[in-house]
Amino acid sequence: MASRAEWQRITRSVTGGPENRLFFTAHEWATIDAATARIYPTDETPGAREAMAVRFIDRYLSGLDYIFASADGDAFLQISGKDRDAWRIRIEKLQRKYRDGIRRLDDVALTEFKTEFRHLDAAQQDRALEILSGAPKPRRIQVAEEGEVHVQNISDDDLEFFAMLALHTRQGTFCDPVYGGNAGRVGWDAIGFPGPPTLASTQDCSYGHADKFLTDFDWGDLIPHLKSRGR
Amino acid sequence: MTKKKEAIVVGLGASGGIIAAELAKAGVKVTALEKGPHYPEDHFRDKQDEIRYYTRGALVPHLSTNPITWRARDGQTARLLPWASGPLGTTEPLHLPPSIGTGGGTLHWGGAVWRHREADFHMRSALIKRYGAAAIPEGTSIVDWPFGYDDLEPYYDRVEWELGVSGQAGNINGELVAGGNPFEAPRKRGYPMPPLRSAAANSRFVEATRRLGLHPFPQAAAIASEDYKSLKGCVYCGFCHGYPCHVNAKQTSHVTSVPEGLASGNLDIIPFARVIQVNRDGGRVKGVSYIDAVGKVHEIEADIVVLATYSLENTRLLLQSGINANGQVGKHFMTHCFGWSTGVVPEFTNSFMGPLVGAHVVDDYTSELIPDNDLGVVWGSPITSFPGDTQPIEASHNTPPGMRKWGSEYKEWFASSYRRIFSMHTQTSSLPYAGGYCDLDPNIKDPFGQPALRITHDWMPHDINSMKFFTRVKQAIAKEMGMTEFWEEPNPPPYHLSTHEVGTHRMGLDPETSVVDPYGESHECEKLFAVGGGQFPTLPSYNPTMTIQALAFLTADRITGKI
Repeated sequence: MASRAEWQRITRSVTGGPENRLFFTAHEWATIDAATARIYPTDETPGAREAMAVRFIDRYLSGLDYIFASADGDAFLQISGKDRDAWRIRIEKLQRKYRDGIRRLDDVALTEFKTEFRHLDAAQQDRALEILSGAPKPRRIQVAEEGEVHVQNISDDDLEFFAMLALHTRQGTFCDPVYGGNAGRVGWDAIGFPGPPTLASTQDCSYGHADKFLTDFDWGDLIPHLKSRGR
Repeated sequence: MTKKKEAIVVGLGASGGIIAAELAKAGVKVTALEKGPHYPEDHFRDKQDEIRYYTRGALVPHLSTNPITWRARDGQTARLLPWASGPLGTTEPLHLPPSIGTGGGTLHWGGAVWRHREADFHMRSALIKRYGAAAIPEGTSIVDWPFGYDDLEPYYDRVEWELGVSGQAGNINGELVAGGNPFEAPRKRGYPMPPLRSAAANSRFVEATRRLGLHPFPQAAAIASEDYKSLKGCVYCGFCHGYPCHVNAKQTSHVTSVPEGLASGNLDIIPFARVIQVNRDGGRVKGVSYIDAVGKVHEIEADIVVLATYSLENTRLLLQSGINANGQVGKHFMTHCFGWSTGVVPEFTNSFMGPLVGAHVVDDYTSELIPDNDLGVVWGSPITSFPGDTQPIEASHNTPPGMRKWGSEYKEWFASSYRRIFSMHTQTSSLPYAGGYCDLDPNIKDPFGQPALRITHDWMPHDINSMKFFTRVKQAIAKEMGMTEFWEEPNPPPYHLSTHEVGTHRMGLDPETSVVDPYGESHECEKLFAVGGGQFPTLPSYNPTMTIQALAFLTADRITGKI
């Protein structure tokens, strides 16, 4: 049994738009695309829509052929053995959660605005997502406040549909482009993450920052296009 | 079919890799059974992939195939680790058992290395001396180690020089060395490599802690700062903890030990071999049974069997094999609270660069150095900066309290903050107590029909107060650093697994109250060794791996008759 280190390479496409979808229906694709565009919106920089987070999610949900990228760019590993069984169960669960979640999102939209989610305007979509998330907008806490316990959620697992969708939107925006998201590296560019040029280019061990650890280096010069915007 | 071997080593991680290689080099014919793959030498060239390694956990054992359950206390029904068993089946690799495959946990570790403090070897005596016998918290089983720092010093030295550690000595033969840790136990010589360079923003931490009267020093790291033996100098790629190293800068037994063992001609590795039972013949070990890659059960025999499968799996195997006459196996479970805290500083930190351990530490409050305090905390922790090694997806989940993880406010915050993140953490030691233990789960089995290990553990008042104490210290440092935002993980944290689980097959001299002797050999079953963090009688607040490696050299010397 081939397992992990010996898994075969399989070539799979991560290009194209809704016409190349593998799991979602046309309606589901458009709904998730619209939702991701509100979760990580487009402003003066590209957001989840330009990053094609919906394509990342569609490929992930499509089965077992897009789980682990191989090193050389446009290829994935063929998972086998008990790992394959485990991933099949996991993906089938995710598929059901998405189908059900999209229906619930449309139910919220129809109840509130008499229109399917994907046809709402941005403010209405935000409201529908807020209702779906079940969480009102919380208050920010700053370091200067005394006596507050500053907590973070360390785990994103065991999530409800909306939190899971938001998680996958972030993954689809900041993943290596080999997974179908972060198209054109727009997610990385917007936050100033240089990232390896391609996964394949890491094989020659060239990606690193040793040269940037010289003393007296001006950190701000690292990402010139952001500096020019005053960030 | 039964074949007789000289020695079987189960697991090729931090300790098993060393023991297998040392035995093989000494002429012992070793068969190593590894649950994961035997990774080819160049397998990890392709690694800067946050989805593959961090998000979808390509290296770690999945709970669906390697179940572990948890409950807070007796009487409850345990379930699969709830912090790690959601729709993704994995979480970040710090709260699951360590990686499997040749190298084991040393494939994905951060590489923070410590010699324990002298007092860490006699915690019970130190507490009684300082506070009186009443200071030992009710219901705990705190004991002294069966040996002291001086006994282990030569083995720490071997880890540093044979495997490779970068760092700045602070105390050589009692003489303090400028730039190092002024509180460190005396060492015979310095490190073989200078410390790693740390990111520019780390100087904020260093200067702030100095202004607060603390004594920062560079973290010693199992990462090569320059080419050393089989290791290559770090390229500061920023995909470090949770990832294999693509240039072999990270000290892992996959690189430092296993190849030497193979070169001796005396080491055979059987990958994808899941050991299910230790077999014995009366009071002496006979061999093991394992399931191979196609599901066939094999029984092999050997004079010596070494279990080096991590504290938790060692415990499971001992219990499943019925080697627990004194009832001590699985008791005294201990783990770390990390106290992960995150802040944002005004200038760029470029948090994506460098290794996690390109960091500074203050040891002013560690272990016995903790000052008297109103919270009743009796054993302290180092405070460590975390200046880099934070990839975008990991960072994108970690928002300040009160901020939801979506929408335009979130995007604006993340776009401007990602490169300004600066984190800190502590590692408070949990105390061994009667209600914290491991046994076999009566309900959950793995896909091979073997019972899962069940952890029963809850955070105790001392844990919660330790976290509180160090939250105050970290908040003070955060303010002094000029952080604009600062937040910390919940107290108590939702996890009970930190990859620093120890104590569940405790070593000691008394066969009634411990499982193995100081060399890791079972009191109950001759020539069966159970090694690793499971041996620890108490858990110091330092990272355990270098002590696990030192103990592995000790065990290897014992088996080969050198001591």
